[in-house]
Amino acid sequence: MSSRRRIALLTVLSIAGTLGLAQAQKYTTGEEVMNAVDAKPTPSNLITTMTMTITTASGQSLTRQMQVWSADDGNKEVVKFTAPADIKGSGFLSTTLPDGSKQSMIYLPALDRTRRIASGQQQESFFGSDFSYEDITDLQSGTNKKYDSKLLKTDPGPVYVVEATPRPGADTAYDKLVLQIPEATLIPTKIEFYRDGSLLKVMTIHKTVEVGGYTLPSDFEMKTVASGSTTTIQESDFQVQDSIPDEVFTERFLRR
Amino acid sequence: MRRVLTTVLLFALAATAAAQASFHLGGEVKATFGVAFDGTLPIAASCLKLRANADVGSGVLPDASYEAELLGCYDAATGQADVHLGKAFATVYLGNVDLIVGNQITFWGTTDAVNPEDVLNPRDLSYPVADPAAQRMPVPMIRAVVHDPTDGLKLDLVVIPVFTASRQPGAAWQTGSQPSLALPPGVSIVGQAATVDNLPAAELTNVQFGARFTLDLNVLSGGDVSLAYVHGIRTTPTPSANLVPTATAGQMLLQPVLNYDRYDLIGADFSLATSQAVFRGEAAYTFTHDPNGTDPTIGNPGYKAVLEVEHTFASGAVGALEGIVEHTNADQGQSNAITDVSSLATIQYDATARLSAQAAWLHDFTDGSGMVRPSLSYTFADGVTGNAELAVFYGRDGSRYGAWRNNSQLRVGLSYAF
Repeated sequence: MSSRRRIALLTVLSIAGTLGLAQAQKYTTGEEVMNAVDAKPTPSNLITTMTMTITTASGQSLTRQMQVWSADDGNKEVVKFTAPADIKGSGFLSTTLPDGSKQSMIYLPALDRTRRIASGQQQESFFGSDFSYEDITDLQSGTNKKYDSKLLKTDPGPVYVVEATPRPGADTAYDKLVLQIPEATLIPTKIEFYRDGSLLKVMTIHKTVEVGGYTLPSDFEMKTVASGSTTTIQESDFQVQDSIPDEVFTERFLRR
Repeated sequence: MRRVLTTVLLFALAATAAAQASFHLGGEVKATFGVAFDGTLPIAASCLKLRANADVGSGVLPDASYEAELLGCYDAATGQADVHLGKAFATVYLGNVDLIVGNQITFWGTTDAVNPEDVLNPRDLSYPVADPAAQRMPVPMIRAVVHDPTDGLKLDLVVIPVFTASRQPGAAWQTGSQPSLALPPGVSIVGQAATVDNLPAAELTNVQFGARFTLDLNVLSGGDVSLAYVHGIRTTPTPSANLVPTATAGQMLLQPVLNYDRYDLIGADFSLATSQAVFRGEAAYTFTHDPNGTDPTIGNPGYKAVLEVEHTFASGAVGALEGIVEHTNADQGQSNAITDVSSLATIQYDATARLSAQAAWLHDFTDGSGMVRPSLSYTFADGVTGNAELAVFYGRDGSRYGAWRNNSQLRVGLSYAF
């Protein structure tokens, strides 16, 4: 199905959902839903600007701005901070190899050095936010490759509620995700992250945008349950690229 | 003269700024206050750093870029004021080669805090236990970094045309060891003559250079290995002494002499990330021009090695443990070789986006001395950070860190980056 026809279909489905028309659910298993999410056309190569706002439970906030380069369906990613001044120039490079293993490094200009991160360190907070390094990379690459999925229920809409559990050997810090996925958009609107059986964080996607024929999520909110802190990410200045040069995804580019 | 040059440089930058595709002016204002356990106030400083940088041309990498810093500090505790040029360098991107010329810092190595290969830049040792990154002093260098297109190989070549010495610790940090001299019978020392500081002159024979080759390893969660060579001059002097005759027979003046040792360093380092930990290691052997330990005015050869493992705990805290071995060969016919074994344990925990807690414990197993340094930093607003740091030294008199017991101190600071 061409992207244009798919978008037209998604639009019709969305309108139908808005009008509350009864409709049969299209997918009957969690794997079908997640495969459909994975099959949804997304740009392979994308450059965006992110504005990240970290808000404590008491309401104080900090703001970070960054530029993100993503290629090969999110398998290569570079994030570089552009503001505020005290962390400007800091960056993060992540590469997923064909065997699924991940290599990551960060650049800290104050130390003038790059540091490798253990793949298990992906659970670490991403520059003080409620997002982890793993969350940031999964924003671009998706989660389907790492998880087995089970359909828990189908809410009106229809909205699929899918439980995703890590595949053996999957490189993730979570032991369960619960996703709410409207059939109309096939973009999750809410993801609950569980670790050690407890609800750790909740991510909500508030807004999508149309860019170059793609429907892309643009406003994310991640809430840490225990602390009550919240981080929002607003993506803007989307640039869909045919390709991004390999030299972007190098330590040399990260440091400059 | 230096101030005039700095002013001219800044005006030149400002004049050309309008012609650049991207020009940024920023900096930092920082105030630091300290109180030592003996009741003295070691620091009450206010500093301003102005930074300008720009790219020329566009693309993934620009055609060229430059960066310049001007730093000014006034320390009311010592009465010292200082304005100087910080980093000031231009980079030209020539295909796979980065050519970097000017006042710069080049860090070689992989481990944290203790880096046997990190010898290219002199240090500001006025606070000897400051963050090593803050101690490095930029010096004029000509540097070429050759990359292969995929970043799998890297060759880093550095030439340092003119020698610059490290800034030595103040009197409070001097451990009291003086060069000893065997006095002939009937000779006594009645005073001290002016110190002779044999700073290497700006001449071709004192040009330092080095090379580092890095190979990226596509194993586990990523790794790399590097080999380094440096032909250099130690930036901290080796002290010795002369006897200077006075008008009275048998009475001499002791004249301290500071020499800066020529050396050749061979080093290697690696980092290896796994799913649960990052391993880093670094070692270097230094050959001086006194291989047999016969010349007391030249330091002896020796080696230094560090092995580190870093792990992130489920709580999000990042811990690291380092083992450090330093060895200096003995003088000829003597049994005065020095082998020092120590460890460094650090932990960092970001309690919130604003509050970060860190602690470091450095312990010298050879003499039982060490340092404990807990610290807190808090981000009040975007770019505004406060920090408090306690450095406590322990150990017996004359030990490596015990000699600094009275220098145990608390430092608090506030900085605004713009």
